[in-house]
Amino acid sequence: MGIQVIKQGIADSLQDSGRKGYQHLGINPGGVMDEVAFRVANMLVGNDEGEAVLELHMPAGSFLFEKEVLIALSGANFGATINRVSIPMNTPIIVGKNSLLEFKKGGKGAWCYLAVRDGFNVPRWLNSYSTNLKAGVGGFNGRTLVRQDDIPLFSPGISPSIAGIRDLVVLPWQADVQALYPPSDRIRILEGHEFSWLNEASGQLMESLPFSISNQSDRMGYRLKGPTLRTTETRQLVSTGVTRGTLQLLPSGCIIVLMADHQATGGYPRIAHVIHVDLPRIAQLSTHETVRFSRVERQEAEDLMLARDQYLQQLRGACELRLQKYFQENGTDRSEL
Amino acid sequence: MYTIYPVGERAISIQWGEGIDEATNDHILRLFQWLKEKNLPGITDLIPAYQSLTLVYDPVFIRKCSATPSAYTWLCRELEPVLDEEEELPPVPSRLVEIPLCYDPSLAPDLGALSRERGLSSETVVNLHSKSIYRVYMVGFLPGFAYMGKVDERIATPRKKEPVLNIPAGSVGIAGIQTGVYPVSSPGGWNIIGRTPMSMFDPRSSDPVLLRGGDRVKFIPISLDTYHGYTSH
Repeated sequence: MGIQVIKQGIADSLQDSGRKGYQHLGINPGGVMDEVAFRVANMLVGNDEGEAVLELHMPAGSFLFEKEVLIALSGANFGATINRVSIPMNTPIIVGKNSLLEFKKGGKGAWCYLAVRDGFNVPRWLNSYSTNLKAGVGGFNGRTLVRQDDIPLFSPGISPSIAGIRDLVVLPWQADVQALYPPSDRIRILEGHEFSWLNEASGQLMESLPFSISNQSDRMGYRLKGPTLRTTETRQLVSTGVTRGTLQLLPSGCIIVLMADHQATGGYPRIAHVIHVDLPRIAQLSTHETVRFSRVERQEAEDLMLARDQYLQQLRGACELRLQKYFQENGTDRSEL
Repeated sequence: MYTIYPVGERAISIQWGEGIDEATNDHILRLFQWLKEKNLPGITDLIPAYQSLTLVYDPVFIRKCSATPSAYTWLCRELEPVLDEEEELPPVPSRLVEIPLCYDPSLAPDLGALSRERGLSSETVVNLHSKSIYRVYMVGFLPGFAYMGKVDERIATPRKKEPVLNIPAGSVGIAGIQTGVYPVSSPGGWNIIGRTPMSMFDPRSSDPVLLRGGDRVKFIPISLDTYHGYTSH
């Protein structure tokens, strides 16, 4: 008894913050594409940072809740409905037993996250719930979800019921995520070790012209369309470490931005790295959307990470207080959820 | 001598020279092992490669723990003593792993073309490939994919221009002076000269990956019948 997949989506999978500490074995970190939306969805339902969420891509699946549970959606807005009633993003919602969650249309953004209170009850592989699609392990049976999958939940269901005969109850608060996604087409980057390999014109083009997300983009990497960049170096690199957000220059002169399912090592020039706090914004871009890059300094990137973490901690605290108060007033003890 | 440089604001690489060199790689693996045991706060991954070691870290964690204004600077300072001192780092265990390998043409789609290209008979290619003991330099690309070398120059062949969409698990390939086993089915560009029935990657095991950096590998030629004998078990 948990969540049943009624209609299959194109790339829906269970993810968490990723599998850390195994890259030396060739096991990539994986994890959610948008870390901020993942954290916000979990905090809205009062979960620990580590709980798994369902990552959805458009066209997303439809899901039947087999018990009354507390959920939240964050990230891309796909026009979610419960029993055909629209529901808000970034808001805790109690869904009644046998309610159907559907997604009507792709709006802005590429990845939407569904968190359920207490998380999804699937085995962890190497300390993570993330689905490693390449190896076919982790998450739910090591793959994306298909029709009739029944994903167990840790939550025993809300008892006594709060929804009663209602399909859903929208709790009266919303997480403010605007500050976490500043409305700019500028993606900030740090110079990579091989940035100096670019010829002078290419180095300038990097920041002056827009790039668009090509349709050859997936959880491993986003290929960009834009000016062809040229290097003055012809040396071959020996495979060395890369990270999420690394901008690799392919031999064709195109850039690929490494995303969640990137390999641990790569042999292409690392011309730049998207700063950590801008990774959710680039992850949420859809095919054909454009970006411009601006170079910043490493210290600024670090400071921004710290500031964002503080904001998220405050948000977490506020969410916890509101939830606690709500359940006290509605006669349900936190421990019974 | 090494160079140390940032890889974004969450990783740092230390690099020794360029190219594929056993002594350098051995030093990297020793350092990797030492750092893994040392368990520095905030380090989430260590990625040893042919001539570099990359540390992935959480700057927020480091800055909170160490009250430092720059996680990068703090980390450089932590690393310098071990990088600069001629400290004796303990050696890395090096096991000799024998891997049965069937070079039958039915499991070796590129053996014919590679032999022709190098002007050798298939038997010579098989002999040259199976006589060497290879060193595992690094593991990457796929779970448990060991980059091994160096293959005999007479059979060293660049990877294919166009990757093949589906290379079956267990396939053994050559790319330049490297050889390796595909642990899971995957697209890939290495020249496939045989297949092993031995599992390189078992997700159900608590120790899911067979080969580690520093291991030594010897391929033992087996017949097609023996291969099928293994796989039917």
